[in-house]
Amino acid sequence: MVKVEQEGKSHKELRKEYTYNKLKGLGQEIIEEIEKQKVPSIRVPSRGTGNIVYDDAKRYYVLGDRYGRRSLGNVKQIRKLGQMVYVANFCKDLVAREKTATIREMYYVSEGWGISFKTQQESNIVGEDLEVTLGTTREDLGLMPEEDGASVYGDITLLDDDVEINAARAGKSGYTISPTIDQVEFLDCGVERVIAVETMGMFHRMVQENANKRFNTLIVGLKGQAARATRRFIKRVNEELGLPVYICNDGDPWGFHIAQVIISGSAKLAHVNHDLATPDAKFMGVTASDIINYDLPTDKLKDVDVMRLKELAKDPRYKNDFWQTEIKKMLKIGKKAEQQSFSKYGLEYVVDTYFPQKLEELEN
Amino acid sequence: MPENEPGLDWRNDFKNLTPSEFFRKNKQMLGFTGKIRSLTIVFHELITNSFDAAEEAGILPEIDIELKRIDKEHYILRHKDNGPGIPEDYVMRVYCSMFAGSKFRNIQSRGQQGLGCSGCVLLSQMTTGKPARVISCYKENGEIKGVKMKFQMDVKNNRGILMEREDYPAESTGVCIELQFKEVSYSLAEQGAFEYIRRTMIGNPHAKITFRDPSGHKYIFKRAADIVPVLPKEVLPHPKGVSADDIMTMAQNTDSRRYKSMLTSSLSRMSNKRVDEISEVTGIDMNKRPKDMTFQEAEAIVHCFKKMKFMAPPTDGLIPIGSDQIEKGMKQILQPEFVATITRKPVTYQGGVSFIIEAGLAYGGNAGRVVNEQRKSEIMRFANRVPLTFDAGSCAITEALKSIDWKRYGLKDLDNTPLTLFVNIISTQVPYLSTGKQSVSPEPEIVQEIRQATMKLARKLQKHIRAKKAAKEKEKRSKVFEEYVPVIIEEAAKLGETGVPEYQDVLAKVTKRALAELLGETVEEEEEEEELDALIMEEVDEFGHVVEEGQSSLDTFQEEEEEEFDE
Repeated sequence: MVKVEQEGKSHKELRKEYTYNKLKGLGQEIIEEIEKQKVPSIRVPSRGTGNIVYDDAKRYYVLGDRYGRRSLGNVKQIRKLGQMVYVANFCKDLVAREKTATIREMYYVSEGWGISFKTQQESNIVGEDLEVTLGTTREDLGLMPEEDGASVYGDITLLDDDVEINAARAGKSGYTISPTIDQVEFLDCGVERVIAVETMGMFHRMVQENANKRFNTLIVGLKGQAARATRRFIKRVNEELGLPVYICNDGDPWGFHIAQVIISGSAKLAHVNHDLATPDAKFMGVTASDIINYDLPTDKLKDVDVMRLKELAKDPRYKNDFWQTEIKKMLKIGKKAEQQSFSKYGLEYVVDTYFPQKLEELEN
Repeated sequence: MPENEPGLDWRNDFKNLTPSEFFRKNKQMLGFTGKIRSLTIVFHELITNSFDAAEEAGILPEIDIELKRIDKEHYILRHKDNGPGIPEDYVMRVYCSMFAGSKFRNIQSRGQQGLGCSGCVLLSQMTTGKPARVISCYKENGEIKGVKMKFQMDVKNNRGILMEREDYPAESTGVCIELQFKEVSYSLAEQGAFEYIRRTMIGNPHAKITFRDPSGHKYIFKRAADIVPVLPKEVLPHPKGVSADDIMTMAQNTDSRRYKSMLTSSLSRMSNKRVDEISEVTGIDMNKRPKDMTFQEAEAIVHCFKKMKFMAPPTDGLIPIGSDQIEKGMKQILQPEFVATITRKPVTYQGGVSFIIEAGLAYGGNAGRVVNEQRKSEIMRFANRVPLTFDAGSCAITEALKSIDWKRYGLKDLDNTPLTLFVNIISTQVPYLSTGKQSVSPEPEIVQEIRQATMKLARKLQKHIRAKKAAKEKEKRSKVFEEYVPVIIEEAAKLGETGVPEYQDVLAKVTKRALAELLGETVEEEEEEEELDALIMEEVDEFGHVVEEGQSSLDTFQEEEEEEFDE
């Protein structure tokens, strides 16, 4: 259906229509069951650990086929089913009116419902239930997280509502990725690649050194663990604009994993990884090899780092040779290094020397 | 022996010690110990006698009792029944002679050894010196006669002394006796006179008792059953239940000419073949005259009985109250929310004494006793329909009931449960523990029977409590459905942009299913659903690790939800 109507409609319109129909379908499903005099129950895919599988072909985590039920005939579940229907109606209204609400706002709106929430936690779970059940992201549903997105700097022109923004002309801090990034349209783009960095310190270093122009790239400051909106943005530029993505993080298990979540998705959001994971994104560093090759200043690995590295070694997302080698190497040298450690050779060294060498390595 | 020598005058002192004289000196042997107990025993004796008399005459007993307080520990008791009355010539014998017309028969009986009424008169006279007043109305040659008498007891001679007598215009038969007592006390305590009447009514639902207490309050205990109980028959003693002394007594009083015929006619289940066996084992010549029996022979015979096998004794001499009657009695007096009763089949203890255990259990309503404004459980013990109100501690009934694991039947705090437990033991020979006849010896077979009977009732109570809880839950649950189903369907219709369909059938279905779940009919399904629910809910962190249970905010939420249905 969606494919047939695709012509002449923007990405935004298509998503809106898809989500709206999904929500409406949920209501129809329940009513049809009632008309057949059956007790309606909604299949909700399981989000338990046992049902999260790494999909080798897709190269990200997906949900398995296990599911539970929310039945109208079960005293314990009827409230949750009821809340789900209310949330669905609330979201359908948001989608129709092209508005968004934070989950906190929804919690307050629910006060007026026939079955209200007792806690924020309760409403979060039902929101997630709906997300999983319909296979849509919560951004599609108009439900926004509270957190900020990351910053983008570089030559890309976006249409956010009626405003055209070029991310190279949005000040030195760049364009801030909003939770509603899916409603933003890409109008034009003059770059060849994307380089994402873990810290805003590195982001500003790159802006100051004109890295965007020198490498013809967008600079993305992840601000630590990347928010859903940031991951969604990276996926979109990778897929819609065909830009290769490189991620430069600290040379420690946490830096590795921030990159990995962007690449292969997280277990927790396995149900929406198809919208969030960018399997083709590449890790640019800092690797254990870099620590040795560039003779970087280091810190000793802490016990928790060692433990974490050993966990990563077993994680299916790290099973290729590159990661296995780097993890083993880091464990062997027992050292870790931050992105900023290149400053040992001067503030400009990372942009002047390291990035060109790494890009050369990765792109050829 | 010189006549002026100090010491016993055998001729005068010893010979004249009558039963009355004996009991005057040993009134505790009649149960008259303690102020509350003494009065209760008086009630017991008079009521029991009235019942026995009425039942023997085929009359439904109706008793009017009035207890007036004259002074501290000084009361006048008026006790009036509708029995057949006592012919004038016998009135003073009944009330003034100990052991008069005593019944030493092997028969199920309420009464004691025929001391009852005269004991009461004795106590009255001993404590107040006042005479007894009796009006007796009885039939003689088809005519109703009435007599009003005032008399005292001649303790030394074990007989009455008439003081006044006049004719009384009789309308119907019955006896009314008026006695005064001192050093007694009326109390509402468990051992008190009022409680005695209350319990009597449960064991004797065919009776009616009107009682006016010292404060002038009138209690009417209505009749719950209209059938005069069948009179118990006398049965011959069973070989396993007799002692050597019993055999000797039989031998002294029998009309039989030989041991053989004496044994077969005085004992049940005793055939000629059996007598021959005994003869063979003991070597006793069974053709001897009973009057010549020696104690050694009697002992040998009884010893032989113990080793032999006999059929259980006949049980047609035992007349239980009957579970229906007990139920009526309990309902009438306790107005309980739930009642269950049982009359077990006759069995024997000590190998040859048959008995029947009857039990009743009442829950809720006025069952149990109010102590400090809280209802507590109570045990009502009976032997041959007579309430046993003293010496509860050592009694077989108490022991049996305390040995039951009540928690198994869903009664976590038995003491604080509005529960009345009734146990009646019916037997021609209730094995009382002491002279007061207030507690039953804990023979293993008796304790076992009481346990079995009561546990059966407890299971029924458990079912009732469960069903009641389920009904309450059902109501609560169907409320949840009734509240949520329409709201959810309307909301779903809005979501699906369709009309609201007819949903009464679905609502009925879920309500019904909820009940089935409660009754445990589809427990498996429910468990499965809960498991699937847990599957959805399991929390994972960003790295795919399951969040520790204690740290998850989901847990608190789930607990809250549980509470909602546990209120």
